[in-house]
Amino acid sequence: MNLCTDQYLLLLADPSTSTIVTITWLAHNQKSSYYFQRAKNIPANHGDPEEIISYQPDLIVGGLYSARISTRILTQLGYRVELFDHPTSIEQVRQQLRRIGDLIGRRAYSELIINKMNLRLKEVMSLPKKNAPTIMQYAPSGFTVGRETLVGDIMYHAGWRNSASVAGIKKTGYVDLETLIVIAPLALIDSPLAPNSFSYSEIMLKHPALLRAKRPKIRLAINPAFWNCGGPMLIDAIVQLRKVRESLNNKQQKTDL
Amino acid sequence: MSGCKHDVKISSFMLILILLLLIVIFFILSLTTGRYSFSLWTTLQELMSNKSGVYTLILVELRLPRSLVALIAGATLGLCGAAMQGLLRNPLASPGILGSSSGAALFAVIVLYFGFHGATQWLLPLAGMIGALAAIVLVFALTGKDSSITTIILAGVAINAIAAACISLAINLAPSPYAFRELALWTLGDLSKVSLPNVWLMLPTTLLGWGLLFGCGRGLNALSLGEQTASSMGINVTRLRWRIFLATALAVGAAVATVGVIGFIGLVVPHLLRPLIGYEPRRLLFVSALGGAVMLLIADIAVRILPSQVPLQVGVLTAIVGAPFFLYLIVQSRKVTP
Amino acid sequence: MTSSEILFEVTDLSVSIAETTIIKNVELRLKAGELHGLLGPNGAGKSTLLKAMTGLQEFQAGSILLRNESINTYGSDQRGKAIGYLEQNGYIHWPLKVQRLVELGRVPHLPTWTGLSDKDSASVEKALKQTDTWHLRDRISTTLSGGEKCRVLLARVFAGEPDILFADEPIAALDPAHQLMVMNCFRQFVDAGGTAIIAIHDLNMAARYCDKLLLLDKGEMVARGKPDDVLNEENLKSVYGILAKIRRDECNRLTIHSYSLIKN
Repeated sequence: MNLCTDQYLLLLADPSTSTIVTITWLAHNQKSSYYFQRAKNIPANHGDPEEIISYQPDLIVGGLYSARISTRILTQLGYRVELFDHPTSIEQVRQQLRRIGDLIGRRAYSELIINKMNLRLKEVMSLPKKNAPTIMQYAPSGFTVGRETLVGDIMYHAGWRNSASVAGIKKTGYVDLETLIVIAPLALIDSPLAPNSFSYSEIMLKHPALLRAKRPKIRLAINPAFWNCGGPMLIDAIVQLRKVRESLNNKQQKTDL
Repeated sequence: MSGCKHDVKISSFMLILILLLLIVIFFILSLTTGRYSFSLWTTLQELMSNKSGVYTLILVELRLPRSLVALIAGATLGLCGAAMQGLLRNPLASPGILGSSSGAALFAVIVLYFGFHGATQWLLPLAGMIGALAAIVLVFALTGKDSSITTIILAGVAINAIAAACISLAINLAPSPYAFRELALWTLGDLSKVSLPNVWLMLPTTLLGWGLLFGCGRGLNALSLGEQTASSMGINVTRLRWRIFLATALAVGAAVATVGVIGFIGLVVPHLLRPLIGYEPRRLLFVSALGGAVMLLIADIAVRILPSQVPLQVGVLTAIVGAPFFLYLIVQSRKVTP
Repeated sequence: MTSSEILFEVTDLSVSIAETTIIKNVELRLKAGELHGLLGPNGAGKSTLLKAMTGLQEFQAGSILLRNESINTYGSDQRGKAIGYLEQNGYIHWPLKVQRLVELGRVPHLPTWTGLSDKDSASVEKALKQTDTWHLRDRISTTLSGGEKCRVLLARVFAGEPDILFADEPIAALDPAHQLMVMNCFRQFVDAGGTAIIAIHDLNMAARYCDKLLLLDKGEMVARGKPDDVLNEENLKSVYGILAKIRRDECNRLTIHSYSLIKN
């Protein structure tokens, strides 16, 4: 009953031992759901308790903050409901993978996934040095994330310093354009969700003040399916961010020469 | 001539002077208010010497357009409120209450979110204008020619409700996944995202609307004595009414398409200033424009000063002040008319 | 202007509103220096006739001539300058000062962006003095008594310096003293060379002040002429449905009394 718990299920569930009877409609969305192809043949729900009951599930997993009334009703009706917080670090992703593994009897497989993920992480990660380049995510309306979020943790593991902390943001918060121009991160992560449609929030990212400012110099986009939710795909986000950082270093070295 | 006439002239001249002074003060304050404080003077000097830094950028590209738009949109709302109140001879009329603001917002929302926006920029104020005009024409079509103010306001309420519902629907159906978070922006107004191109875009229709409205003073004065008497003095009341509808639509449409619906300025400002200029509708027009500009500048400064985690909408503030005032007016009008 | 000049002429005028005929084939001629009383029971069409003549009401047939030219050839401003119209129960919508309100009478003379000239101010002062409201000029018009308000609204009309004045029941709500005051104002106006029609219910007042009377019944002009010719027992019986005795007082003025309803 939550996009992110859906991702865990789609990753870990084995059709021979357990069946995913329904997932949220969001999990079918190619833009936000990494495992949308695996989700293809699984019916969607919109978080309505009546819908869920019609599938008579043995286990319901959902988010702590999504469809709260529905999950409470289902608990009261005697269903087994397991709720997950949105992961705020890579470590928490590991814990959640283990917990799901336990719940659906696939603990061994989840450990395998975690090990694979750890191996890849070791290979690609590099923690930021003191003078590491700065980055900030700038979602519509000026919404941004700090160190204590999954995205923040991913930036950290890719060797970037997150400018949101300069603005005093640890978890999530809003940064207006003025602040953005003053704290001037080198790179800005745009939202790539809807490039051809309009929203006021997105027009903010095209504001002349931002376009004329010297920094942010680089605008980049990360596929949101990589880091919206926990899972091994977050390594791909690290790889992308690291590549950008390294190309930057090369350029700098060239200009230095 | 007579002493009394002279007094009023001097005091209304003083009033205009005071309002202009307030506009200058709050405009400067608006330029200096923000998350970061810096010396306006040194930044201006930097600007003069063609140096561009972070602060000149903030001043020119963020705070200047924001202050200009507050000035222009505020003046529009004050002026249109004064004109509508003069036309209907009732202090309860305003662009917000008669539906033209929400009509403008609806059309602007449709144009923006459904992709007509990229093609031609000027389509946006135009859409706002058409929406405003459609709403007010609908209100008057619903009420007929000689209806009471109560009927007109009820029709306005109905049009507002329909427009608000359609805005909601349009935003929820919009292709952009972020659109649904922007409902409050349209219904309560927001100045934080405006840029200089917005100013140039809204200016032509706004100025045209203002010009048309300032020329209505004579007719509005005559209307103080009722439609019959005004017509007997050679005022074409039907033409005056359409002129005010059209001019209001031009100016309000442009303002709403830029900053969303900001309520109650058009209601409160003319009412506060009316006693100060001797209740003459013609004199009220100009001072209401100035007063509206002052009020929106103040509200937008307050929004930036108030400690809030999430960006605050300027319309929240004008509504908190304006809505009780509206209730007060209703109670007052109940006392006056038996 | 010569006193016999015809300022205003109505020929064969018919007015219908929503397919109901209100005015049928009315004719009248207004000469400078004459005060006309428009009589007729409620619903006879007095107000509609005055509105049609002022240009506030469309008419279906006939012609209205202002200084020998069709009223339709005049622009609304020119018409506003020539004809003053005093609305029935005129309402003042904003608490304007009396001075300001009377200044509104200059509207037909002032283009959009011009203020009052000395000539305009002189006309306003004259109108205030003419109606004996000069002392009220600093008062707030909406706080005046009914009689004062009526005179102030009349001052507004005078300030426009029209030649022709149409007043719709100007004295209906006034006490006897104010009635006389207002009627004197009209008298002075026509004596100065203007012409006026006032719709009026007080037959004694009409007989005493008016040069000519027009008696309207169900939209038709049933009698027209000097008070002696119009106010006879026969006319009052057929138009108002009343029995009245008409006498002359010691000054040879018509007086009408002993009203009683005709029983079926």
